[in-house]
Amino acid sequence: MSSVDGILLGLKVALLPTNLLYCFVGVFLGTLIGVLPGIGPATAIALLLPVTFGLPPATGIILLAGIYYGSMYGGSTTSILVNIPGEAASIVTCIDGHQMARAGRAGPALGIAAIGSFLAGTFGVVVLCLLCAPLARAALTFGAREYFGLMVLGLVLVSCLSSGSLTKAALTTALGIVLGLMGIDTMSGASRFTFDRPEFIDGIDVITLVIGLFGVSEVLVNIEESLKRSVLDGRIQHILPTREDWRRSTGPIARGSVLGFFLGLLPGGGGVIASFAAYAVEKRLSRTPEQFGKGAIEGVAGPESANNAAASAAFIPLLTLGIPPNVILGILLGALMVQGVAPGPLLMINNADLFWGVVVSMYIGNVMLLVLNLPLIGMWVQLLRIPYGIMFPMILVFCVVGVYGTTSSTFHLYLMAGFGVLGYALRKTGHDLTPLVLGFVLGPLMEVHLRRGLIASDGDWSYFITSPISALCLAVAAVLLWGTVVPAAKRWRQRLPVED
Amino acid sequence: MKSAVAVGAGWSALGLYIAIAAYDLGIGNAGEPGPGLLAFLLGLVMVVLGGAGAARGVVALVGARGGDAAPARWPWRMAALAVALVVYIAALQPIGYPLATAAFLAALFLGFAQLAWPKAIVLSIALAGVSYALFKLALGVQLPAGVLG
Repeated sequence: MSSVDGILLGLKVALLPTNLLYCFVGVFLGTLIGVLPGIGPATAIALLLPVTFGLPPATGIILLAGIYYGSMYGGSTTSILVNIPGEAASIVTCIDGHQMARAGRAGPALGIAAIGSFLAGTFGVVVLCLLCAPLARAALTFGAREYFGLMVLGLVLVSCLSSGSLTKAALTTALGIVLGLMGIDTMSGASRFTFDRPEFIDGIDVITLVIGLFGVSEVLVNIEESLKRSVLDGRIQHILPTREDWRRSTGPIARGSVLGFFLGLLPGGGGVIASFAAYAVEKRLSRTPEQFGKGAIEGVAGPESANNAAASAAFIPLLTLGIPPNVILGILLGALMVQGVAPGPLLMINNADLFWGVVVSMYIGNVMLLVLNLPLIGMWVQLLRIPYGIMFPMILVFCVVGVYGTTSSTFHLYLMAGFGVLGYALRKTGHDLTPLVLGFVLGPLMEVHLRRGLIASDGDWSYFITSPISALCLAVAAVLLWGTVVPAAKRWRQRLPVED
Repeated sequence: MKSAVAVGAGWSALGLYIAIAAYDLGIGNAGEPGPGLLAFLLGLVMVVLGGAGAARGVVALVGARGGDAAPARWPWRMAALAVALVVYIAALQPIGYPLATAAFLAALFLGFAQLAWPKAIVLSIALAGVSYALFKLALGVQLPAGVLG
């Protein structure tokens, strides 16, 4: 099927009234999640996963995808008005966005964030349409060694791009893989690390892990800090940017879109790295770098475009290779598998309606977000006035409902609480949680390909470097590991933020 | 610095446990890898990296002149919240979602948000009722009704 045929099929699926409704619900909830600090898109998608079980696969994924890219839009509102990022990819928007708001230019800051996000999201979807088909065709020839190489590279990238020390990232990745290996081994039938508990036979549920590590631990960390925050007072006027704003923002939006797209493809890259990289590029290219940090509109336009382009690009490795590049798409992978859909190169052939329906709905969702964000900014501001002291108990209740709705088991609720405390302890000791979750998702797949490769080659480890793709992946992984030991690279990693 | 030693030692101990348990599962050989092979290798990695972290902490501890920094405060708010969450989970099945949630919310509104009694009670009952209606009745999520069922 050509890309044009695919887009036409996608339009047919995405424009069904049910799918339009769920796309709207997804982007609305995503914006809400992005606006409200304290609950990230990973937790929100995990919480809503049980709701999608009764829906057709395409509809369920359209809803969850909408939450993901919708949250990227919403995060900027909180950054600009409250100086607290609604989600991690909007951290950098606080710097200049909030300064613009303090100078009475909250409207143009919010406007350019929404318009830049829309343009970058559109760019991301168009390139996604063009790239997916050839990539999926290439991936059809991949065997155990190629997949093993890709997954090793993915896990190394996640460790290298995570915040803090590489040693800690490697440790959390290893723990994540071991947690992922729990349950019945599909190749030998052996029970691994089940502690004779029937609940562990199928392994640890990804929803329980993610909600505990991100949702519960976030609340446990936040509760130690002040529960008060101040929202900027005054009416927000003139949301549409002026001609001068446009002149200064066009370049940053274009550069942010391209940079964000390529960084979004990398495992562990995602919106956070993309937004920071875009900010750094704009500051470097600017003729007036001294204005950065004092309300430069380029410092809002570039990063906000980059994180939305990254959100679209992140779907490419998931949909074409079955490899999720970040935690959120790891949960989407779980959602696809629950629906009986196997992500990977065959997805475009076996489930063309789902694939193209989701891709086209992402464009429609971006249009909805533009329409939704600009007129509803006043409503989001009112929501931000809800005190965190009222909000955090409800977040915990939602976490409990999310896990219980998926598992119907009190044991899993205790497990969630345990992961919450583990996540709290790991965060407090400077560990990034993203490698743990990606290790959990990718580890079991990597193990299967490792063992298949070893069996196929009769125990010859050099088998994994006999294919150009796997040899290249393993070589890049080795270079990256070596590179992060170099002092300059270590200093750069220390400055990376944590993604949720 | 003391915490770095404790964290490193903790990782090493966990890695050692994983390596031993994985070895017991069977690591097989290169031509016929067993179910414990990858976990065994990862356990060893954790032992080595955790040990290195602990060793760095010990070196820093020995090198520090004025001793360790002031001990960190006990995170009592976090601990109280974790205990409240566990009590809520324990109460969920026997007394049901609506009552357990209302009691949990009221406790947190009073204990953490310092709301006035009447406001906390009314808000918690309203939020428990609305969320039950939303999840159970509108979205079809299975939640225990408990004594009200």
